[in-house]
Amino acid sequence: MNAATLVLDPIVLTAARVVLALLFATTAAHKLADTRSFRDSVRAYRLLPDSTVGAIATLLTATEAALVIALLIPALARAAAVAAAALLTLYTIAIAINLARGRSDLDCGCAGPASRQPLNRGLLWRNGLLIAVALLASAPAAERTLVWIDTVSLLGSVACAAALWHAAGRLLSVRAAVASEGAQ
Amino acid sequence: MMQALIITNVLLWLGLIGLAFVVAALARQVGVLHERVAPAGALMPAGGPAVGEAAPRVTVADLDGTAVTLGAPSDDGRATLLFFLSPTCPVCKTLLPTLMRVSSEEPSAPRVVLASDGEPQEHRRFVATQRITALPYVVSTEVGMRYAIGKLPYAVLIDADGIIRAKGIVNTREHLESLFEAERRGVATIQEFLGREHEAHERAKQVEGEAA
Repeated sequence: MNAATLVLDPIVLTAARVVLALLFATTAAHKLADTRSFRDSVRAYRLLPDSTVGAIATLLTATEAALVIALLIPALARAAAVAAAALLTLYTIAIAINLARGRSDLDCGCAGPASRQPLNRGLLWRNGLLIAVALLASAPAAERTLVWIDTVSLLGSVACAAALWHAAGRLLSVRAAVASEGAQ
Repeated sequence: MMQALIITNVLLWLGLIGLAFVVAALARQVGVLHERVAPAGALMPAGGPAVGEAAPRVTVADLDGTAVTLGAPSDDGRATLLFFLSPTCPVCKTLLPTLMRVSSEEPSAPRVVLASDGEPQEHRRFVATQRITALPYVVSTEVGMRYAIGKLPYAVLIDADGIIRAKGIVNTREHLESLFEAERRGVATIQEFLGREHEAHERAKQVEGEAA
């Protein structure tokens, strides 16, 4: 292995890319299901002039949808992973700015209005992990013949990642809700 | 050896996936439990007549034209559950079956009065579709303002003497029932109740400490 470039096992890369694609598919679906609600979420962040909110909201939704497809096309996957990392960094900075402003009663807007995810520090950590996964997913693949057990690895890691992602989201939102009740 | 390694690997994956799903289910359950346990008191915004005060006496006509008096001592010894709602509030609709049940239980059960504001026509349609014609339904901006109603659904429990015993935003059946519980225990909110329990516990510990 060349020390200058990190080459990863092809199954690890595929798993990372599938997980990211699944994530963006879910978030894009939520945004498309309720465009008005997402636009309100973006406006609530108060980081953009009001007139641009609608256009930016549409752009974000379109980018996420495009990333879902690009991540699953081998020729585009590496570039898509870098774009995903960039998009996630953007979101994380937006959350961090509002947390610094002390505005933690905002809904994250990550997974639709039904998820009720108020902003909190845990989100920064969760997103940080995701950005790391996205950067890893942009690495080149090592050459290796795949065997049947690789399917097990792929399906297993995607299933675990999905379950743990949901669990983390739920726990973060309950923690935030309990914290805000205690403050009253 | 290879066979054994493959077997152990697959077993580990199955175990891990199972565990991850159980954790996800647990997290979801914690969220659901929290929603149910979140006390109605925690959702009580400031404003309007306080718990323990006399409810403002108001007489309004309901949708059928019958006069409904709020805040006066009742002749039949029944408390009044004043429930503020709106036809466009989805959570309100989910509580309607509970309200129908509450009002139809024993004769000693509180009478339920629904309150909203806006156009009577819209509300008549709402009452018909939701099949709540049995409950008195008052359309009055004045009542809403007197009680300083902001968020919906909102419930105020007024006892048979016309005193406000409990009030707050109610999102679930459990919240509604916590209002009755609050009235039974003579506290304004579950938090106040927990505070009292905590104080009593601390005092008991102090007494023990001094006696030792």
